[in-house]
Amino acid sequence: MEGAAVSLPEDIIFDVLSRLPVKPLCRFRCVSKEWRALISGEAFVAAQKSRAASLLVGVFSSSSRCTDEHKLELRVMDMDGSVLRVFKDVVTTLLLPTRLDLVCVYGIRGGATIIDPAAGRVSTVGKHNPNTPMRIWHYSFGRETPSGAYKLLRIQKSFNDDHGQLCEIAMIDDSGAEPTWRQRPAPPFVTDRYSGRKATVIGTLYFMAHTSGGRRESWNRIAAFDLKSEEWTETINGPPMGQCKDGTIALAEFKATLNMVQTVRTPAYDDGHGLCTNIWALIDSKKSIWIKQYTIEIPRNLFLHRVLDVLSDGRILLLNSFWKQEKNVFSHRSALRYIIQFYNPSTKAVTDIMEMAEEFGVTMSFYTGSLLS
Amino acid sequence: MASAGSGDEKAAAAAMITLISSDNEKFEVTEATATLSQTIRHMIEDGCTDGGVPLPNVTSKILARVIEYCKKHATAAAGEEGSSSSFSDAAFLEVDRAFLEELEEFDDAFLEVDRATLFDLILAANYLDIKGLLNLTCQKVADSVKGKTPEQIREMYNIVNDLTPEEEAEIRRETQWAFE
Repeated sequence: MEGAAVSLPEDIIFDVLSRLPVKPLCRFRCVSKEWRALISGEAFVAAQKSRAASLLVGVFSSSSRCTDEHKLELRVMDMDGSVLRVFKDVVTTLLLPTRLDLVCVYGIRGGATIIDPAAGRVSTVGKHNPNTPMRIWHYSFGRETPSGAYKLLRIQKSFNDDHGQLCEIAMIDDSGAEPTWRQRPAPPFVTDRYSGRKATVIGTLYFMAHTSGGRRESWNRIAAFDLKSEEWTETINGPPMGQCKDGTIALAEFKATLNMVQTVRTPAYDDGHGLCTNIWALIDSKKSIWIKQYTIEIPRNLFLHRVLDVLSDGRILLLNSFWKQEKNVFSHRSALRYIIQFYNPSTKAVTDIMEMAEEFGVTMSFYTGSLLS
Repeated sequence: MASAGSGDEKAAAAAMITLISSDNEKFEVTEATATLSQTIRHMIEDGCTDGGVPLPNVTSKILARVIEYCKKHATAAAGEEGSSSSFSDAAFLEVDRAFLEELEEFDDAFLEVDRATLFDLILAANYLDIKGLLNLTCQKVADSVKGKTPEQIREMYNIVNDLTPEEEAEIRRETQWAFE
Protein backbone atom coordinates (compact mmCIF):
# COMPACT_ATOMS: atom_id res chain seq x y z
CA MET A 1 0.00 0.00 0.00
CA GLU A 2 1.23 3.44 1.08
CA GLY A 3 2.47 4.45 -2.35
CA ALA A 4 4.73 1.41 -2.53
CA ALA A 5 5.23 -0.71 -5.60
CA VAL A 6 1.81 -1.13 -7.10
CA SER A 7 2.62 -1.98 -10.65
CA LEU A 8 0.47 -2.89 -13.59
CA PRO A 9 1.15 -5.58 -16.17
CA GLU A 10 2.63 -4.42 -19.45
CA ASP A 11 -0.54 -4.98 -21.49
CA ILE A 12 -2.46 -2.72 -19.09
CA ILE A 13 0.22 -0.02 -19.32
CA PHE A 14 -0.03 -0.35 -23.10
CA ASP A 15 -3.81 0.10 -22.88
CA VAL A 16 -3.58 3.12 -20.55
CA LEU A 17 -0.87 4.90 -22.54
CA SER A 18 -2.58 4.32 -25.90
CA ARG A 19 -5.40 6.56 -24.61
CA LEU A 20 -3.08 9.55 -24.30
CA PRO A 21 -2.49 12.29 -26.85
CA VAL A 22 0.84 12.61 -28.67
CA LYS A 23 2.34 15.35 -26.53
CA PRO A 24 2.50 13.58 -23.14
CA LEU A 25 3.56 10.38 -24.91
CA CYS A 26 6.61 12.07 -26.42
CA ARG A 27 7.48 13.31 -22.92
CA PHE A 28 6.98 9.88 -21.37
CA ARG A 29 9.56 8.35 -23.68
CA CYS A 30 12.14 9.53 -21.20
CA VAL A 31 10.53 7.86 -18.18
CA SER A 32 12.57 4.66 -18.66
CA LYS A 33 14.01 2.34 -21.29
CA GLU A 34 10.91 0.15 -21.08
CA TRP A 35 8.55 3.08 -21.65
CA ARG A 36 10.70 4.40 -24.49
CA ALA A 37 10.56 1.03 -26.27
CA LEU A 38 6.82 0.65 -25.62
CA ILE A 39 5.85 4.12 -26.88
CA SER A 40 7.98 3.77 -30.02
CA GLY A 41 6.74 0.30 -30.99
CA GLU A 42 4.81 -0.14 -34.22
CA ALA A 43 1.82 -1.81 -32.55
CA PHE A 44 1.60 0.96 -29.98
CA VAL A 45 1.78 3.74 -32.57
CA ALA A 46 -1.03 2.06 -34.52
CA ALA A 47 -3.18 1.55 -31.39
CA GLN A 48 -2.74 5.16 -30.28
CA LYS A 49 -3.54 6.50 -33.73
CA SER A 50 -6.77 4.51 -33.98
CA ARG A 51 -7.87 5.76 -30.58
CA ALA A 52 -6.80 9.38 -30.74
CA ALA A 53 -8.95 12.15 -32.14
CA SER A 54 -7.71 13.51 -35.48
CA LEU A 55 -5.02 16.12 -35.48
CA LEU A 56 -5.94 19.47 -36.96
CA VAL A 57 -3.83 21.63 -39.22
CA GLY A 58 -4.30 25.38 -39.57
CA VAL A 59 -2.47 28.32 -41.10
CA PHE A 60 -1.71 31.24 -38.77
CA SER A 61 -0.02 34.55 -39.39
CA SER A 62 3.03 35.23 -37.30
CA SER A 63 3.21 38.92 -38.03
CA SER A 64 5.59 40.88 -35.89
CA ARG A 65 4.21 44.30 -35.00
CA CYS A 66 7.62 46.03 -35.03
CA THR A 67 8.71 45.10 -38.52
CA ASP A 68 5.26 44.92 -40.05
CA GLU A 69 6.43 41.76 -41.66
CA HIS A 70 3.68 39.32 -42.47
CA LYS A 71 4.66 35.70 -42.26
CA LEU A 72 2.51 32.62 -42.29
CA GLU A 73 3.06 29.43 -40.39
CA LEU A 74 1.35 26.08 -40.38
CA ARG A 75 0.48 24.52 -37.03
CA VAL A 76 -0.41 20.91 -36.28
CA MET A 77 -2.67 20.79 -33.22
CA ASP A 78 -4.56 18.25 -31.19
CA MET A 79 -8.11 18.70 -29.95
CA ASP A 80 -6.84 19.82 -26.55
CA GLY A 81 -5.46 22.91 -28.24
CA SER A 82 -1.81 21.85 -27.87
CA VAL A 83 0.36 22.94 -30.79
CA LEU A 84 2.45 19.91 -31.70
CA ARG A 85 4.42 21.08 -34.73
CA VAL A 86 5.02 24.42 -36.41
CA PHE A 87 6.22 24.94 -39.97
CA LYS A 88 7.35 28.48 -40.62
CA ASP A 89 7.33 30.48 -43.83
CA VAL A 90 4.31 28.95 -45.48
CA VAL A 91 3.54 30.76 -48.76
CA THR A 92 -0.24 31.24 -48.52
CA THR A 93 -3.26 30.42 -46.41
CA LEU A 94 -4.65 28.22 -49.19
CA LEU A 95 -4.63 24.93 -47.33
CA LEU A 96 -6.31 21.99 -49.02
CA PRO A 97 -8.91 20.41 -46.72
CA THR A 98 -7.70 16.81 -46.86
CA ARG A 99 -7.46 13.89 -44.48
CA LEU A 100 -4.07 12.46 -45.39
CA ASP A 101 -0.62 11.77 -43.93
CA LEU A 102 0.65 14.80 -45.88
CA VAL A 103 -0.60 18.39 -45.96
CA CYS A 104 -0.72 20.66 -49.02
CA VAL A 105 -0.65 24.46 -49.23
CA TYR A 106 -0.64 26.25 -52.60
CA GLY A 107 -0.47 29.66 -54.20
CA ILE A 108 -2.74 30.81 -57.02
CA ARG A 109 0.21 32.05 -59.07
CA GLY A 110 2.37 28.99 -58.83
CA GLY A 111 3.77 26.23 -56.70
CA ALA A 112 2.39 23.95 -54.05
CA THR A 113 4.08 23.08 -50.78
CA ILE A 114 3.81 19.52 -49.53
CA ILE A 115 4.43 19.09 -45.81
CA ASP A 116 5.12 15.82 -44.03
CA PRO A 117 4.56 16.69 -40.34
CA ALA A 118 5.96 13.38 -39.01
CA ALA A 119 9.22 13.59 -40.95
CA GLY A 120 9.40 17.37 -40.63
CA ARG A 121 9.85 17.56 -44.40
CA VAL A 122 8.71 20.49 -46.53
CA SER A 123 9.01 20.47 -50.32
CA THR A 124 7.77 22.93 -52.90
CA VAL A 125 6.81 21.65 -56.32
CA GLY A 126 5.47 23.19 -59.54
CA LYS A 127 7.16 26.56 -59.17
CA HIS A 128 5.94 29.25 -61.51
CA ASN A 129 7.91 29.72 -64.71
CA PRO A 130 8.17 33.48 -65.30
CA ASN A 131 8.21 32.94 -69.07
CA THR A 132 4.72 31.48 -69.24
CA PRO A 133 1.75 33.85 -69.49
CA MET A 134 -0.02 34.80 -66.27
CA ARG A 135 -2.40 32.11 -65.22
CA ILE A 136 -4.49 31.22 -62.20
CA TRP A 137 -3.54 27.90 -60.68
CA HIS A 138 -5.36 25.70 -58.30
CA TYR A 139 -4.54 22.35 -56.83
CA SER A 140 -6.12 19.23 -55.47
CA PHE A 141 -4.42 16.40 -53.65
CA GLY A 142 -5.19 12.80 -52.82
CA ARG A 143 -4.13 9.17 -52.78
CA GLU A 144 -4.72 6.74 -55.58
CA THR A 145 -6.50 3.55 -54.52
CA PRO A 146 -5.51 0.86 -53.94
CA SER A 147 -1.80 1.70 -54.31
CA GLY A 148 -1.92 4.63 -51.87
CA ALA A 149 0.37 6.73 -54.10
CA TYR A 150 0.05 10.48 -53.54
CA LYS A 151 -0.95 12.48 -56.61
CA LEU A 152 -1.20 16.21 -57.01
CA LEU A 153 -3.50 17.65 -59.66
CA ARG A 154 -3.23 21.22 -60.86
CA ILE A 155 -5.60 23.14 -63.08
CA GLN A 156 -4.47 26.35 -64.73
CA LYS A 157 -6.51 28.86 -66.62
CA SER A 158 -5.69 32.25 -68.03
CA PHE A 159 -7.06 35.31 -66.23
CA ASN A 160 -9.52 36.42 -68.88
CA ASP A 161 -10.42 33.24 -70.69
CA ASP A 162 -12.70 30.71 -69.09
CA HIS A 163 -11.89 28.12 -71.70
CA GLY A 164 -8.60 26.45 -72.29
CA GLN A 165 -8.12 25.04 -68.82
CA LEU A 166 -4.88 23.10 -68.57
CA CYS A 167 -4.91 20.07 -66.34
CA GLU A 168 -1.76 18.31 -65.18
CA ILE A 169 -0.94 15.59 -62.68
CA ALA A 170 2.19 14.52 -60.85
CA MET A 171 3.08 11.70 -58.48
CA ILE A 172 4.46 13.01 -55.18
CA ASP A 173 7.16 10.96 -53.45
CA ASP A 174 9.33 11.84 -50.49
CA SER A 175 12.41 12.74 -52.53
CA GLY A 176 11.45 16.41 -52.55
CA ALA A 177 12.54 16.62 -56.20
CA GLU A 178 10.37 18.34 -58.81
CA PRO A 179 8.00 15.65 -60.08
CA THR A 180 7.17 14.98 -63.71
CA TRP A 181 3.96 16.78 -64.67
CA ARG A 182 1.83 14.93 -67.18
CA GLN A 183 -0.98 16.60 -69.06
CA ARG A 184 -4.48 15.18 -68.63
CA PRO A 185 -7.78 16.10 -70.31
CA ALA A 186 -9.32 19.38 -69.17
CA PRO A 187 -12.25 19.14 -66.73
CA PRO A 188 -15.73 18.99 -68.33
CA PHE A 189 -16.46 22.57 -67.21
CA VAL A 190 -14.70 25.44 -65.45
CA THR A 191 -14.00 24.32 -61.90
CA ASP A 192 -14.14 26.50 -58.79
CA ARG A 193 -10.70 27.10 -57.32
CA TYR A 194 -11.93 27.94 -53.80
CA SER A 195 -10.68 25.20 -51.46
CA GLY A 196 -14.11 24.76 -49.86
CA ARG A 197 -15.54 23.73 -53.23
CA LYS A 198 -13.19 20.83 -53.69
CA ALA A 199 -13.03 17.56 -51.82
CA THR A 200 -10.92 14.43 -51.80
CA VAL A 201 -12.81 11.22 -51.11
CA ILE A 202 -10.71 8.04 -51.09
CA GLY A 203 -9.26 7.83 -54.65
CA THR A 204 -11.34 10.57 -56.24
CA LEU A 205 -11.03 14.36 -56.46
CA TYR A 206 -14.26 16.37 -56.69
CA PHE A 207 -14.70 19.91 -57.98
CA MET A 208 -17.75 22.15 -58.06
CA ALA A 209 -18.51 24.16 -61.16
CA HIS A 210 -17.32 27.76 -61.12
CA THR A 211 -20.35 30.00 -60.61
CA SER A 212 -19.53 33.44 -61.96
CA GLY A 213 -20.63 34.82 -65.32
CA GLY A 214 -24.39 34.33 -65.10
CA ARG A 215 -24.44 30.60 -65.70
CA ARG A 216 -26.97 30.28 -62.90
CA GLU A 217 -28.61 27.12 -64.10
CA SER A 218 -25.45 25.09 -64.30
CA TRP A 219 -23.76 25.81 -60.97
CA ASN A 220 -25.03 22.71 -59.20
CA ARG A 221 -22.66 20.25 -60.87
CA ILE A 222 -19.63 18.38 -59.64
CA ALA A 223 -16.76 17.02 -61.75
CA ALA A 224 -15.00 13.88 -60.54
CA PHE A 225 -11.41 12.90 -61.31
CA ASP A 226 -10.26 9.35 -60.62
CA LEU A 227 -6.65 9.28 -59.40
CA LYS A 228 -5.96 5.76 -60.65
CA SER A 229 -7.18 6.02 -64.24
CA GLU A 230 -6.30 9.75 -64.22
CA GLU A 231 -9.50 10.46 -66.11
CA TRP A 232 -12.53 12.66 -65.48
CA THR A 233 -15.36 10.28 -64.72
CA GLU A 234 -19.07 11.07 -64.49
CA THR A 235 -20.39 14.53 -63.77
CA ILE A 236 -22.58 14.48 -60.67
CA ASN A 237 -25.63 16.67 -60.25
CA GLY A 238 -25.84 18.35 -56.86
CA PRO A 239 -28.66 17.67 -54.40
CA PRO A 240 -32.10 19.26 -54.98
CA MET A 241 -31.44 22.43 -53.03
CA GLY A 242 -33.78 24.77 -54.84
CA GLN A 243 -32.33 28.03 -56.07
CA CYS A 244 -30.08 28.40 -53.03
CA LYS A 245 -30.30 32.13 -53.60
CA ASP A 246 -28.84 33.51 -50.42
CA GLY A 247 -26.99 30.43 -49.44
CA THR A 248 -23.43 29.24 -49.58
CA ILE A 249 -22.39 25.77 -50.52
CA ALA A 250 -19.26 23.74 -49.93
CA LEU A 251 -18.03 20.24 -50.63
CA ALA A 252 -16.54 18.07 -47.92
CA GLU A 253 -15.55 14.52 -47.14
CA PHE A 254 -17.18 12.97 -44.08
CA LYS A 255 -16.97 9.29 -43.21
CA ALA A 256 -15.37 8.51 -46.60
CA THR A 257 -18.37 9.93 -48.47
CA LEU A 258 -18.79 13.08 -50.55
CA ASN A 259 -21.02 15.61 -48.80
CA MET A 260 -22.45 18.96 -49.77
CA VAL A 261 -22.85 21.54 -47.04
CA GLN A 262 -25.49 24.13 -47.76
CA THR A 263 -26.15 27.14 -45.54
CA VAL A 264 -29.44 28.96 -46.13
CA ARG A 265 -31.62 31.56 -44.46
CA THR A 266 -34.27 29.93 -42.40
CA PRO A 267 -37.80 31.15 -41.84
CA ALA A 268 -37.68 29.45 -38.45
CA TYR A 269 -36.58 32.65 -36.78
CA ASP A 270 -39.15 35.44 -36.47
CA ASP A 271 -37.21 38.03 -38.41
CA GLY A 272 -36.13 35.59 -41.09
CA HIS A 273 -32.47 36.34 -40.56
CA GLY A 274 -31.42 33.09 -39.00
CA LEU A 275 -29.27 30.61 -40.87
CA CYS A 276 -29.38 26.89 -40.97
CA THR A 277 -26.99 24.44 -42.55
CA ASN A 278 -27.94 21.23 -44.31
CA ILE A 279 -25.56 18.36 -44.84
CA TRP A 280 -26.29 16.22 -47.89
CA ALA A 281 -24.48 12.93 -48.37
CA LEU A 282 -23.95 11.46 -51.83
CA ILE A 283 -25.18 7.87 -51.70
CA ASP A 284 -25.15 7.04 -55.42
CA SER A 285 -22.76 8.93 -57.68
CA LYS A 286 -23.99 7.25 -60.89
CA LYS A 287 -27.57 8.39 -60.32
CA SER A 288 -26.66 11.58 -58.39
CA ILE A 289 -28.71 10.56 -55.36
CA TRP A 290 -28.19 12.61 -52.21
CA ILE A 291 -29.73 12.32 -48.77
CA LYS A 292 -30.11 15.24 -46.39
CA GLN A 293 -28.56 13.73 -43.28
CA TYR A 294 -28.34 16.61 -40.83
CA THR A 295 -29.67 20.10 -40.32
CA ILE A 296 -27.60 22.33 -38.07
CA GLU A 297 -29.10 25.26 -36.21
CA ILE A 298 -26.58 26.90 -33.97
CA PRO A 299 -27.24 29.70 -31.44
CA ARG A 300 -27.52 33.10 -33.07
CA ASN A 301 -24.42 34.55 -31.46
CA LEU A 302 -22.37 32.09 -33.50
CA PHE A 303 -21.62 32.04 -37.21
CA LEU A 304 -20.93 28.70 -38.82
CA HIS A 305 -17.82 28.98 -40.89
CA ARG A 306 -17.16 25.37 -41.83
CA VAL A 307 -18.40 21.91 -41.04
CA LEU A 308 -15.13 20.12 -40.33
CA ASP A 309 -16.28 16.60 -39.65
CA VAL A 310 -19.19 14.30 -38.89
CA LEU A 311 -18.24 11.69 -36.30
CA SER A 312 -19.51 8.13 -36.24
CA ASP A 313 -21.50 8.87 -33.05
CA GLY A 314 -23.38 11.62 -34.93
CA ARG A 315 -21.63 14.61 -33.33
CA ILE A 316 -20.59 17.27 -35.81
CA LEU A 317 -17.34 19.20 -35.56
CA LEU A 318 -17.77 22.85 -36.52
CA LEU A 319 -15.51 25.82 -37.08
CA ASN A 320 -17.59 28.75 -35.85
CA SER A 321 -16.90 32.41 -35.25
CA PHE A 322 -18.30 34.88 -32.74
CA TRP A 323 -17.80 38.47 -31.64
CA LYS A 324 -15.63 38.48 -28.57
CA GLN A 325 -15.68 41.46 -26.20
CA GLU A 326 -12.13 42.39 -25.42
CA LYS A 327 -11.71 44.75 -22.52
CA ASN A 328 -8.55 46.41 -21.46
CA VAL A 329 -7.71 49.60 -19.59
CA PHE A 330 -8.05 51.70 -22.70
CA SER A 331 -10.96 50.38 -24.67
CA HIS A 332 -13.82 47.99 -25.12
CA ARG A 333 -13.89 46.43 -28.51
CA SER A 334 -15.27 43.40 -30.24
CA ALA A 335 -13.10 41.14 -32.31
CA LEU A 336 -14.18 38.26 -34.50
CA ARG A 337 -12.71 35.08 -33.09
CA TYR A 338 -12.88 31.49 -34.30
CA ILE A 339 -13.76 28.53 -32.19
CA ILE A 340 -13.98 24.79 -32.78
CA GLN A 341 -17.10 23.23 -31.32
CA PHE A 342 -19.03 20.01 -31.30
CA TYR A 343 -22.67 20.19 -32.32
CA ASN A 344 -25.14 17.57 -31.17
CA PRO A 345 -27.90 17.38 -33.83
CA SER A 346 -30.46 15.79 -31.49
CA THR A 347 -30.16 18.38 -28.71
CA LYS A 348 -28.87 21.29 -30.88
CA ALA A 349 -26.32 21.92 -28.14
CA VAL A 350 -22.81 23.19 -28.87
CA THR A 351 -19.76 22.23 -26.79
CA ASP A 352 -16.52 24.19 -26.96
CA ILE A 353 -13.40 22.33 -28.04
CA MET A 354 -10.89 25.13 -28.48
CA GLU A 355 -10.74 28.77 -29.34
CA MET A 356 -8.35 29.58 -32.15
CA ALA A 357 -5.52 32.04 -31.62
CA GLU A 358 -6.16 35.59 -32.84
CA GLU A 359 -3.83 35.21 -35.81
CA PHE A 360 -5.74 32.23 -37.24
CA GLY A 361 -5.95 32.28 -41.04
CA VAL A 362 -9.33 30.49 -41.18
CA THR A 363 -8.32 27.47 -43.27
CA MET A 364 -8.15 24.03 -41.74
CA SER A 365 -7.30 20.49 -42.67
CA PHE A 366 -6.87 17.18 -40.91
CA TYR A 367 -3.64 15.28 -40.50
CA THR A 368 -3.99 11.50 -40.24
CA GLY A 369 -0.36 10.52 -39.73
CA SER A 370 1.22 9.89 -36.35
CA LEU A 371 3.74 12.23 -34.78
CA LEU A 372 4.92 9.30 -32.66
CA SER A 373 6.54 7.45 -35.54
CA MET B 1 -36.10 0.67 -13.55
CA ALA B 2 -39.37 0.06 -15.34
CA SER B 3 -37.82 -2.55 -17.54
CA ALA B 4 -39.97 -4.74 -19.71
CA GLY B 5 -38.93 -7.98 -18.05
CA SER B 6 -38.82 -10.72 -20.64
CA GLY B 7 -39.12 -14.32 -19.63
CA ASP B 8 -35.40 -14.95 -20.11
CA GLU B 9 -34.50 -12.10 -17.87
CA LYS B 10 -36.67 -13.41 -15.07
CA ALA B 11 -35.09 -16.82 -15.41
CA ALA B 12 -31.63 -15.26 -15.30
CA ALA B 13 -32.58 -13.23 -12.27
CA ALA B 14 -33.66 -16.36 -10.49
CA ALA B 15 -30.33 -18.14 -11.02
CA MET B 16 -27.84 -17.18 -8.32
CA ILE B 17 -24.08 -17.64 -8.45
CA THR B 18 -21.73 -17.68 -5.47
CA LEU B 19 -18.39 -15.89 -5.88
CA ILE B 20 -15.61 -16.63 -3.41
CA SER B 21 -12.90 -14.04 -2.81
CA SER B 22 -9.24 -14.79 -2.06
CA ASP B 23 -9.91 -14.28 1.65
CA ASN B 24 -12.76 -16.78 1.49
CA GLU B 25 -15.70 -14.42 1.69
CA LYS B 26 -18.79 -15.54 -0.23
CA PHE B 27 -20.90 -13.23 -2.39
CA GLU B 28 -24.29 -14.24 -3.80
CA VAL B 29 -25.06 -12.51 -7.11
CA THR B 30 -27.57 -12.99 -9.89
CA GLU B 31 -26.39 -14.64 -13.08
CA ALA B 32 -27.17 -11.40 -14.97
CA THR B 33 -24.74 -9.54 -12.71
CA ALA B 34 -22.06 -12.23 -12.77
CA THR B 35 -22.07 -12.65 -16.54
CA LEU B 36 -20.82 -9.12 -17.11
CA SER B 37 -17.58 -10.95 -16.49
CA GLN B 38 -16.68 -12.96 -19.57
CA THR B 39 -14.51 -15.20 -17.41
CA ILE B 40 -17.48 -16.15 -15.21
CA ARG B 41 -19.80 -16.39 -18.22
CA HIS B 42 -17.53 -19.05 -19.71
CA MET B 43 -17.45 -20.93 -16.39
CA ILE B 44 -21.26 -20.91 -16.28
CA GLU B 45 -21.44 -22.12 -19.86
CA ASP B 46 -19.03 -24.93 -19.01
CA GLY B 47 -21.25 -25.81 -16.03
CA CYS B 48 -18.49 -25.50 -13.44
CA THR B 49 -20.03 -23.04 -11.00
CA ASP B 50 -21.65 -25.50 -8.59
CA GLY B 51 -20.31 -24.95 -5.11
CA GLY B 52 -19.27 -21.39 -5.95
CA VAL B 53 -16.67 -19.72 -8.16
CA PRO B 54 -13.32 -19.29 -6.40
CA LEU B 55 -11.54 -16.06 -7.42
CA PRO B 56 -8.09 -16.43 -5.85
CA ASN B 57 -6.82 -13.18 -7.42
CA VAL B 58 -9.49 -10.88 -5.98
CA THR B 59 -9.79 -9.78 -2.35
CA SER B 60 -13.20 -9.36 -0.70
CA LYS B 61 -12.70 -5.59 -0.55
CA ILE B 62 -12.18 -5.34 -4.31
CA LEU B 63 -14.74 -8.01 -5.19
CA ALA B 64 -17.42 -6.07 -3.28
CA ARG B 65 -16.65 -2.99 -5.42
CA VAL B 66 -16.61 -5.01 -8.64
CA ILE B 67 -20.00 -6.53 -7.79
CA GLU B 68 -21.36 -3.06 -7.02
CA TYR B 69 -20.29 -1.98 -10.53
CA CYS B 70 -21.71 -5.11 -12.21
CA LYS B 71 -25.07 -4.82 -10.45
CA LYS B 72 -25.51 -1.26 -11.65
CA HIS B 73 -24.42 -2.00 -15.20
CA ALA B 74 -26.37 -5.27 -15.48
CA THR B 75 -29.55 -3.24 -14.96
CA ALA B 76 -28.37 -0.85 -17.64
CA ALA B 77 -27.77 -3.69 -20.10
CA ALA B 78 -31.27 -5.07 -19.44
CA GLY B 79 -32.72 -1.61 -20.02
CA GLU B 80 -30.96 -1.27 -23.37
CA GLU B 81 -32.33 -4.58 -24.62
CA GLY B 82 -35.86 -3.49 -23.74
CA SER B 83 -35.55 -0.20 -25.58
CA SER B 84 -34.31 -1.67 -28.82
CA SER B 85 -37.06 -4.27 -29.11
CA SER B 86 -40.39 -2.63 -28.51
CA PHE B 87 -40.04 0.90 -27.14
CA SER B 88 -38.93 3.73 -29.33
CA ASP B 89 -41.21 6.59 -28.35
CA ALA B 90 -39.88 9.87 -27.04
CA ALA B 91 -41.00 9.21 -23.47
CA PHE B 92 -38.99 6.06 -23.32
CA LEU B 93 -35.92 7.75 -24.81
CA GLU B 94 -36.27 10.38 -22.11
CA VAL B 95 -36.20 7.70 -19.43
CA ASP B 96 -33.21 6.18 -21.21
CA ARG B 97 -31.32 9.42 -21.21
CA ALA B 98 -32.01 10.06 -17.53
CA PHE B 99 -30.81 6.57 -16.75
CA LEU B 100 -27.61 7.02 -18.77
CA GLU B 101 -26.91 10.23 -16.90
CA GLU B 102 -27.45 8.44 -13.61
CA LEU B 103 -25.06 5.73 -14.79
CA GLU B 104 -22.42 8.31 -15.63
CA GLU B 105 -22.77 9.84 -12.16
CA PHE B 106 -22.43 6.39 -10.67
CA ASP B 107 -19.24 5.76 -12.66
CA ASP B 108 -17.73 9.09 -11.59
CA ALA B 109 -18.43 8.39 -7.93
CA PHE B 110 -17.21 4.81 -8.33
CA LEU B 111 -13.81 6.04 -9.49
CA GLU B 112 -13.27 8.21 -6.40
CA VAL B 113 -10.72 5.82 -4.90
CA ASP B 114 -7.02 5.91 -4.07
CA ARG B 115 -4.49 4.78 -6.63
CA ALA B 116 -3.83 1.39 -5.03
CA THR B 117 -7.56 0.55 -5.11
CA LEU B 118 -7.82 1.80 -8.69
CA PHE B 119 -4.95 -0.48 -9.72
CA ASP B 120 -6.55 -3.42 -7.90
CA LEU B 121 -9.82 -2.73 -9.73
CA ILE B 122 -7.95 -2.73 -13.05
CA LEU B 123 -6.29 -6.05 -12.23
CA ALA B 124 -9.63 -7.54 -11.19
CA ALA B 125 -11.41 -6.20 -14.30
CA ASN B 126 -8.62 -7.64 -16.43
CA TYR B 127 -8.71 -11.05 -14.71
CA LEU B 128 -12.52 -11.24 -14.75
CA ASP B 129 -12.64 -9.82 -18.29
CA ILE B 130 -15.20 -7.07 -17.62
CA LYS B 131 -14.77 -4.77 -20.62
CA GLY B 132 -16.73 -1.77 -19.33
CA LEU B 133 -14.94 -1.69 -15.99
CA LEU B 134 -11.51 -2.13 -17.58
CA ASN B 135 -12.25 0.68 -20.01
CA LEU B 136 -13.48 2.96 -17.23
CA THR B 137 -10.53 2.38 -14.90
CA CYS B 138 -7.84 2.54 -17.62
CA GLN B 139 -9.29 5.84 -18.84
CA LYS B 140 -9.18 7.16 -15.27
CA VAL B 141 -5.46 6.34 -15.01
CA ALA B 142 -4.82 7.86 -18.46
CA ASP B 143 -6.57 11.09 -17.43
CA SER B 144 -4.54 11.26 -14.24
CA VAL B 145 -1.13 10.98 -15.96
CA LYS B 146 -1.86 13.17 -18.99
CA GLY B 147 -0.44 16.42 -17.60
CA LYS B 148 2.47 14.93 -15.68
CA THR B 149 6.21 15.28 -16.24
CA PRO B 150 8.45 12.21 -16.66
CA GLU B 151 9.82 12.81 -13.14
CA GLN B 152 6.32 12.80 -11.65
CA ILE B 153 5.48 9.61 -13.53
CA ARG B 154 8.56 7.85 -12.16
CA GLU B 155 7.65 8.92 -8.65
CA MET B 156 3.97 7.97 -8.98
CA TYR B 157 4.68 4.55 -10.41
CA ASN B 158 7.95 3.73 -8.72
CA ILE B 159 9.86 3.49 -11.98
CA VAL B 160 13.64 3.61 -11.95
CA ASN B 161 15.09 5.78 -14.69
CA ASP B 162 17.54 3.48 -16.44
CA LEU B 163 18.22 5.82 -19.36
CA THR B 164 21.66 7.39 -19.49
CA PRO B 165 21.72 11.21 -19.23
CA GLU B 166 22.81 11.26 -22.89
CA GLU B 167 19.86 9.12 -23.99
CA GLU B 168 17.44 11.27 -22.04
CA ALA B 169 18.91 14.46 -23.49
CA GLU B 170 18.54 13.01 -26.99
CA ILE B 171 14.84 12.20 -26.49
CA ARG B 172 14.26 15.71 -25.17
CA ARG B 173 16.08 17.20 -28.16
CA GLU B 174 14.16 15.13 -30.71
CA THR B 175 10.75 16.17 -29.40
CA GLN B 176 11.50 19.40 -27.65
CA TRP B 177 8.01 20.72 -28.37
CA ALA B 178 6.50 18.05 -26.12
CA PHE B 179 8.31 19.47 -23.11
CA GLU B 180 7.29 23.09 -23.61
